[in-house]
Amino acid sequence: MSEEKNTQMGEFEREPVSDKSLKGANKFWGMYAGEHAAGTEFMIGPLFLLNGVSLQNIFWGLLIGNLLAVLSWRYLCAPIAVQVRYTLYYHLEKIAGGGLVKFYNLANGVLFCFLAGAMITVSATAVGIPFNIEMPGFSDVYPNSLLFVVLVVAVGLVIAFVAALGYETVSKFANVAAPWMVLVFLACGVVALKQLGVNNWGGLESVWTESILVAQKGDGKSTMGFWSVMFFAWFCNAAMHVGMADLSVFRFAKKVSYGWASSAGMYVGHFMAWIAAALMLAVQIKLTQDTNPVPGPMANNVVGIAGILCVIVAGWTTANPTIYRAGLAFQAIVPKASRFKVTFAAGIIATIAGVFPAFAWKLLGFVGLYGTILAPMGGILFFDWYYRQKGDVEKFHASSPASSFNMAVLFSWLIPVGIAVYFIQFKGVSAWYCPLPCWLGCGLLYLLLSKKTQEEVA
Amino acid sequence: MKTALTILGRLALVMTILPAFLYLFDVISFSALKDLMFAATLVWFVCSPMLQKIHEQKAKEEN
Repeated sequence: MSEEKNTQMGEFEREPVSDKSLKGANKFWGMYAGEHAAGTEFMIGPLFLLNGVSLQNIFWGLLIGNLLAVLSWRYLCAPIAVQVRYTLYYHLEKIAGGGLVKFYNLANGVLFCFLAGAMITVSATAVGIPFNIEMPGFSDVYPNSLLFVVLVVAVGLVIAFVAALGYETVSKFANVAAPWMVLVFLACGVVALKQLGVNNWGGLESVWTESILVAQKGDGKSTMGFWSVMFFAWFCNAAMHVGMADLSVFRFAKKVSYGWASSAGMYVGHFMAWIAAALMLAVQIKLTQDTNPVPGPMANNVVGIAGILCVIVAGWTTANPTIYRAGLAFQAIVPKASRFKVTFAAGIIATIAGVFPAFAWKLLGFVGLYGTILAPMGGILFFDWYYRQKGDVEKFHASSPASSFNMAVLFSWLIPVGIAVYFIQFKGVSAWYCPLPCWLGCGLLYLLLSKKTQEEVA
Repeated sequence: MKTALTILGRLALVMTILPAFLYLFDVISFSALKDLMFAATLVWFVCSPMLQKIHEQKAKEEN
């Protein structure tokens, strides 16, 4: 998964994309394949192993969950994008008003900073290898040494500075690195299979089970089953598909069928790369009994320097655009502040978050929470488009927001999300189960509240 | 120049993944795998940005 989107963010921000600016299918297939083989992949696969997920549940859960994610892009997001051809933010502004979109931007910006922080930690684990710096363990919430703090701050400052300078250079570098990164992930998986010494499914299952037993100190208890893996795979990018952030991408698509291009990202990044990364941890456990899912050393074990470089590049190419986008989100709130300063400040916040390894170790829960908070806005947009606007593009383009802060949208968003966050924080409900009920709840509540508001006005 | 860079770049990508399979089938050693992958990485990161620049220049000229 990745936040690197919309190299044409500066174009058509407040107007529909023109016909001559539409792009062919290849652009979308390439973009999705590259963007979803990113730094986060190095963390997510190993976390499945540490949570004791059986190999069978990983394969079937990812196969079906990723299919549902692709269908969400194809049948929920792409059709609206191709009809309306607006960015998510401008589309939302028309429904919710500019003031509320700024509030939504704030939530976006803060969550982006924490995600970038986890990626700075990932990159730092690889940069630290030549210096022989001891990395924090899986149970560490705080940094384990002053040297680790210095390392993360150094890596974070470089990433923040580059992000503040602008997006283009990083975007170009990410495009160069993408095909190479995908192949390094695949190579890691193939080499890991060899090092595990397995040549059939039964052998792999037995090595996998042994790795779980070592990781859980003989307990072998699974905290994630098939449904957890499936819902996680479906909703780890909830903000992008059901949350409609990728309206900004598919508004450039010539045909709605380009929504299928998301399958490249799901089955290359969220299937092959996750499984390859999980196998890398299994190798590390077999060779050293070390169960810490620290990406740098894991990649070094299987493919050497190319692996270390892949972790640095993957973390960097994810963190950089994420910080840049966090900067843009914050700048929408304080438009007079310079973009450099705001983006650099976002980078500093991300660096501070990166110092705490817990953000990287808890990535599964964080990604679920991220989807729970942001995706429901997409539900409001979806229900508004089909039940209030009745899919009338011309009327919608000509419309203007009824107010700058639509209270019906605010309450429809905050009530289900507030309830979900309560269940996640205080009742121990896994965050990846929450985006779907929140999305439906927000959409239906919006229809109810907006109808009531209209009746009162009438 | 463009043709040479394209061929080298594609070779680099092939050499990023091929050693893993050669190692899987015991054709090369683990240290050879690591060296070949590192060499392929270097070639890719030299050729690909140069090729990207040529493509950009060409696109600019056409515009």
